[in-house]
Amino acid sequence: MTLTADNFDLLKSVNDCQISDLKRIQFDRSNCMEFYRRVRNVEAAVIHTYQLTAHAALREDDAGKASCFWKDMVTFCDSVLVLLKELKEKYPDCGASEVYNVTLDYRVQAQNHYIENLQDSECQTIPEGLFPQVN
Amino acid sequence: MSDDTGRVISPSELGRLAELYLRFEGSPDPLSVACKEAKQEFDLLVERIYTEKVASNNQSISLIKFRSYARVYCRKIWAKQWPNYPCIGPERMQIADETGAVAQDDDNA
Repeated sequence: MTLTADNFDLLKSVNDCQISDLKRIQFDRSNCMEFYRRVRNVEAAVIHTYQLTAHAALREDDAGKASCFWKDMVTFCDSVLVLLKELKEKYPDCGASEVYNVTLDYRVQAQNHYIENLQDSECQTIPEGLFPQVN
Repeated sequence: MSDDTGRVISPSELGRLAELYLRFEGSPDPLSVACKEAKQEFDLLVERIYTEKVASNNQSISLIKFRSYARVYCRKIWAKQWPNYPCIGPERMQIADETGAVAQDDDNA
């Protein structure tokens, strides 16, 4: 399957559902199981979205377009972090802190890719003689 | 300084840069040691090439700019190659040939 903007819209809507579910549902504080299961789903979404973003961004020969993919990943991580910050206080010891930390790590990496690709987008025309032509 | 083919950067250096770039820019696991080491090695190799071959003859090009040019160049190589996900990994990556081009692997041919 070719990754396109439509695929990413679909992925975004699935991710939004995961987040809104977690926001909406009231969990039993004495039983972490259901909460933990859903938080792990959000972690899986963060990791998988990162992998798709890395793959899609690498296919772009325009660094500016690649930076847009990474910007979306940063935005997704931010929305997860806002939610998890609240939930890890509301349901301590139910696994949200760990997922918060993983998401934060992925957010840092996505932000680095975003900034580097943005810088690269201003250097798309390579001076002659430095590198051979890409055939 | 250029090599005996008249190019500033050798084909083997280009191949190594492209390989390392794929390992960190296309890594499915950004927290892995392999990804971090590839990024570090890429930056060190770029710095070495810049110091030894670029800086003296191209004073208008800073190291930061040269690093971006190297990344842009590697991006163009891999964008043409379209890596066959999820097979991005050291064992599947192709080293550039003598012309600096990266060959397609069998699955992509």
